[in-house]
Amino acid sequence: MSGNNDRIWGVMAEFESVDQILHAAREVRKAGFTKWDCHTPFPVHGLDDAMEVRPTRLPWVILLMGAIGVGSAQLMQHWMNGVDYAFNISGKPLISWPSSIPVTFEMMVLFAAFTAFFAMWIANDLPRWFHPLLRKPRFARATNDRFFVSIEARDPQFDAQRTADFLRGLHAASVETVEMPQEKAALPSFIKRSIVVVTCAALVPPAMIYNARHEPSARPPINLVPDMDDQAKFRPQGETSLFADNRMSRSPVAGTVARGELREDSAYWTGMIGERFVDKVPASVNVTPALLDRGQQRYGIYCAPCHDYSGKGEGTVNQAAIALAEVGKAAWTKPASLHDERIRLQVTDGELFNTITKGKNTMPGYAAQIGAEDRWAIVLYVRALQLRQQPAGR
Amino acid sequence: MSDNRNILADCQAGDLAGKTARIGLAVGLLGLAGGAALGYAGNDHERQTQFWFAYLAAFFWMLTIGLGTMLFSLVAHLVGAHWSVTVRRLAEITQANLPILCLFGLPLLYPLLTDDVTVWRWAHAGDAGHAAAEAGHAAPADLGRQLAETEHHRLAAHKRPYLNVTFLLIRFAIYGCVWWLLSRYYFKGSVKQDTAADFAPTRRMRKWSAPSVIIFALTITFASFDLLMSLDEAWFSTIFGVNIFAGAFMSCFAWLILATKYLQSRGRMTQVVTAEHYHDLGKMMFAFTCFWGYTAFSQFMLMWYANMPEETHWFKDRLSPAWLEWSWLLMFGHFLVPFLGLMSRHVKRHKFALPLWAGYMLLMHWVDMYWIVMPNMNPSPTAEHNPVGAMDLLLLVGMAGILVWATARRAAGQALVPVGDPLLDKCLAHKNV
Amino acid sequence: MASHGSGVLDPARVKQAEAEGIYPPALVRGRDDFASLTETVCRVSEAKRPPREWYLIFGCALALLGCLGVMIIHLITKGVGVWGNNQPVAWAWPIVNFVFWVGIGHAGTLISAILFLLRQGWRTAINRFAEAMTIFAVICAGMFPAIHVGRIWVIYWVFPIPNQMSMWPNFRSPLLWDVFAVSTYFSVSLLFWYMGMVPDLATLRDRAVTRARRFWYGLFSLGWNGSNRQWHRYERAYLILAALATPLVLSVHSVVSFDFAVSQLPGWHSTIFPPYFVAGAIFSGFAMVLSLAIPARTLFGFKDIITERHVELMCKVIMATGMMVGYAYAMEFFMAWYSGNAYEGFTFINRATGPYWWAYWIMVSCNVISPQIFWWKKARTNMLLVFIVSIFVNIGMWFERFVIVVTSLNRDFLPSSWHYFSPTWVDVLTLAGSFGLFFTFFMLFCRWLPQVAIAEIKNITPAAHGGAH
Repeated sequence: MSGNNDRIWGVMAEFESVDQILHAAREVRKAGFTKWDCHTPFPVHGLDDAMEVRPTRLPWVILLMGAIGVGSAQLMQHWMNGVDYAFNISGKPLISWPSSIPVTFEMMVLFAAFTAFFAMWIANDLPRWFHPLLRKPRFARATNDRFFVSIEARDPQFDAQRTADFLRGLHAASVETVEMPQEKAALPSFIKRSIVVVTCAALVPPAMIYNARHEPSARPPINLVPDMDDQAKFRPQGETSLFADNRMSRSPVAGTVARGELREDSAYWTGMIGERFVDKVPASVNVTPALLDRGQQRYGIYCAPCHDYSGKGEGTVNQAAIALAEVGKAAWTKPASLHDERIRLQVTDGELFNTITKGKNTMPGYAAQIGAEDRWAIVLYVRALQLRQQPAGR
Repeated sequence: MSDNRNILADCQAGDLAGKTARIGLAVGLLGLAGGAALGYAGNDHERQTQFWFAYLAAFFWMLTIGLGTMLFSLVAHLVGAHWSVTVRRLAEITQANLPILCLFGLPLLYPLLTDDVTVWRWAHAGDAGHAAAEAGHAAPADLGRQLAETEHHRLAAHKRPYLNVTFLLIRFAIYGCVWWLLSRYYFKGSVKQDTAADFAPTRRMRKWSAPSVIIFALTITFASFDLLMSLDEAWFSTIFGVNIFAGAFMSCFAWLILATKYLQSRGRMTQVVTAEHYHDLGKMMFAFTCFWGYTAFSQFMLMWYANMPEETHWFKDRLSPAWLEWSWLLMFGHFLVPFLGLMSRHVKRHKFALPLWAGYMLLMHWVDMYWIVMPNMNPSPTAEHNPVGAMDLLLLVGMAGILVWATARRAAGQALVPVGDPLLDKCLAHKNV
Repeated sequence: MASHGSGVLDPARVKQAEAEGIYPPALVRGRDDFASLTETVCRVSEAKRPPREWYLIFGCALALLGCLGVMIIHLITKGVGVWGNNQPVAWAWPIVNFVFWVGIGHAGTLISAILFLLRQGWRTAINRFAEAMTIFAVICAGMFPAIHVGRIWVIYWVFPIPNQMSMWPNFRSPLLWDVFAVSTYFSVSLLFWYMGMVPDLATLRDRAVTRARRFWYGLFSLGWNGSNRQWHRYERAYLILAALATPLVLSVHSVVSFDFAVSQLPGWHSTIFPPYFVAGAIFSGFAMVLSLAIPARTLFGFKDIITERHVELMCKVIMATGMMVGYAYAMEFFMAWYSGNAYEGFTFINRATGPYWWAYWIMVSCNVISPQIFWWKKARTNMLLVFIVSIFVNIGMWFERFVIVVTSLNRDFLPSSWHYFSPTWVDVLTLAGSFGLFFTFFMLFCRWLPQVAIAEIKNITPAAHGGAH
């Protein structure tokens, strides 16, 4: 090794045709060099074999990333739409694999393609803007129409003189030594400064967003286009010149019946047909033991305070009212016993229903608190009480 | 130069053709007869019906392989491909037999024309309708089912101008003529080029390839509609023809791989088909496996998504307890597994792996045909019993034997490689990246 | 020598084959040595001034781009009502434009990726050009769904990133599949295009005279020095990217077709939509490539690189894909009858005879009838005729999407809901403006970047293979 190898990067030889570079490559390989390369304007067929380049492992990396893409996509979709915020879209299963295929496929391609791109550049050790070869004017033809062989000085077999002669012997059009650059390759300072500035600037918006998300504010949120905030629509209690009474709130037209409110079955809903009370509980009420239990329960809640559990009319309200009446603080009529002959025999089921609904004397109407089905349940239970003449209760 | 001529020396079938043909014929007839025996043993009407359905599946499997090879020959001329020249003759030989292969579809006239067995319900619509009415069954209490049946009758009546036996026979006569003409033209033309002084046969075949492909596309589409899609006369799918084409073309490459491998193992075509050609055949098989997966998925997903009963019932039948596993087999076996397996270039260049995959894909193609055909026998989303058995497999083996017999028979007497083709040079020098 | 190989054929027969025109003509005419090729392509970017026509086209493009900007601002401030969309035609020009532009983009990837896998050397003359077209077309395409959402300031909701509602996008919707498909397509095409350009940018760097050029071409060529070890990995990655881009192309336009096909609308719900749309996309894309390549080869002096043979091959691809589109039309028409579905049948009669009959017949004459002229070789090699037909095909394909979208919406199940759609001037100017966006980018590309893949085209010349192969 001669002394001035320290400043030499290597030698380069220029060839004029594909055949020449193939031949040269084979010879250099045979000579046993290891730290060398060919430089061609396009990938030359057969040069990989001539140089005995080992097949790259890139495809395996890409395959792996593709598989990760598939897994991520499946997980993402199923978790986001099926677990974290379950979405029912037209009855499709929450975790539906057929509809997850397109996104899965795209993500597989995305992951694999990005890997192919970036891994390739990384494996190729690029970008490397300041290669010693790029400083040689003749080397500019490597991307045009000439083919080069370069052998680096750090190859164990390298010797500046002998290696150059060897290459000359391969009928190279020219052979030159390539020097190590004098100054260290470094990015110009203005680029370094711009990178710092841009990176810092790029951190500002996420920081602002983070701040906004974590600091509560009393101010209303910023809307760039406020159309959604102040919408032209009718609101309750609003004023409008569109109607004579200037009201935005409108009542339904007289005679409007809301859905589900058409009470055609008057026997069921009112206990009356025309002006007459119905004799018996209407047929649309399905009399079952469960209904009677319900009636008992409802009676216990709403009726027992006055009529007491036995139906005799000595409930707690009654007792309290009598006590107040004795000191002149209330006027009170004791509720009729439900076992009275009149109520047992002359008052029809419909009239009982009507009494519960509308009230009688001091008894208020219970239409608001007790639904129609429950009222019929209570009627049935009262009839059961009357039949038993036994104390009601648990 | 004369050394190079030796490359073509072993490209004659010789007595191998006869031997292979005999084996093929024996296997074929035994398979078909065995299937028929199992089908008709014991006077079981259900079993006999199943026999005819299975026969249809096996026959269509064989037909699609033939049609696939025909398309391969056409496309090779259309694009002037040079990599495929040495395997093209085998494809031409296979497709030259299409008329004979079609003859094996003639037995299907029996279920079509007689009332003993019903495969295509619309072929017996008139009679079945009357029979039901005369039997005096009470109208179904279920309004939904009543409506479905009314709709069914309406559809059947609507489709009668197309789905009737006479028109069907006319159409098949047309398909048969087209296939006969095309197969003959492209086989004879290629053989003629072997010995022709000029290149007029090649030029003529190229000239007619584009119109031929168009006509071919229409015939394969409507043949699949007529035989397969009409099994469920209420159902329809615009991509059905494309799906069948995908399976057919994929099978064609699988068939060529197996046929070439067989011939090479018997000392024929040893130097004219290299790992490079197998690589390309493998690539095409892989590509069309993916394309099949794509068309099958499109068909399924679009019908699944829109969820319209007139379309989904076809899939619901195939996702019934009887057929669910078969559907999984189809999805995994016909697409996912070969997708992963055939991706690697090493597999596509491997002496044993690729032919194994090719045989596997041919089997999967039959699974596909069976899956399309068989659930129509007792269509129901709650079907419990999957009928596949020895009879179906015997019929498959039988049809495979017939295909081998027909191809081998035709292979006798001309070169196994288009020796006069102008692109033969480039083909032999072909190298993959 | 037109064929090279094992020498199995007699040289005499080879000569005869050449005489009979069996072998295709050379892909590069005239001086096809490496230095000439480099010079032909690089001199376009290195010229002090581009040709005068460039200024004219660029000026018009900029004007249209400005118009686009104005239209978008108008749209965002006033709302989506400035368009002609109504009920039931809620999707009209914007979605038609989206599908149109995405379709055009697909030809570029087909040329780059699929033709690469099929080892078609003729692609090298047009692939850089076509890839650029893809990128710019996809930008134009992606713009339309973005601006048509109404509240563009919350467009980030389409991405699966945490938002203030703790909600995620609806992965069961094809519109979201579109988001993934188109963004994947854009990024992968961009990577593929850039990767292909790196060696050519290195060529430009090495020829650069001014400091600015040396800097910018040097920066973006990443220090590429043609090392074979680098070429080896590069080629592998390129092949894999091509193998990925191929199914990607199929999937993207299939996903776009799913936008329509997953619905229950007659005329939209058809299983053949995915391959039909892909074939249509390639059809229109190649037409656009021709519309661009034919003027470009004259304007920039690429006649010996983009030869009549290239144009002829592209015409054949147009014919093939046009036939596939025609097949799909036939299938849909047949099924419209065969299905027995009254609505489906009506839809197809309505397309031809209803209120949009004029759009339908424009579509048929441009898509089905005009390309038939390419059966004749004379037509395929007449540049002016090819250019005219390619314009027609583009128009026809725009109308095809229009017919599919608007006629099916305009008259669907319930006659009382039928309502005619007319575009507004905003619709029209936005479409025109999108062409401005496309051509602005494209003209800049033509001026500053290598229009032809220099390294790849050298690789298909005879000198690249040498004798000992």
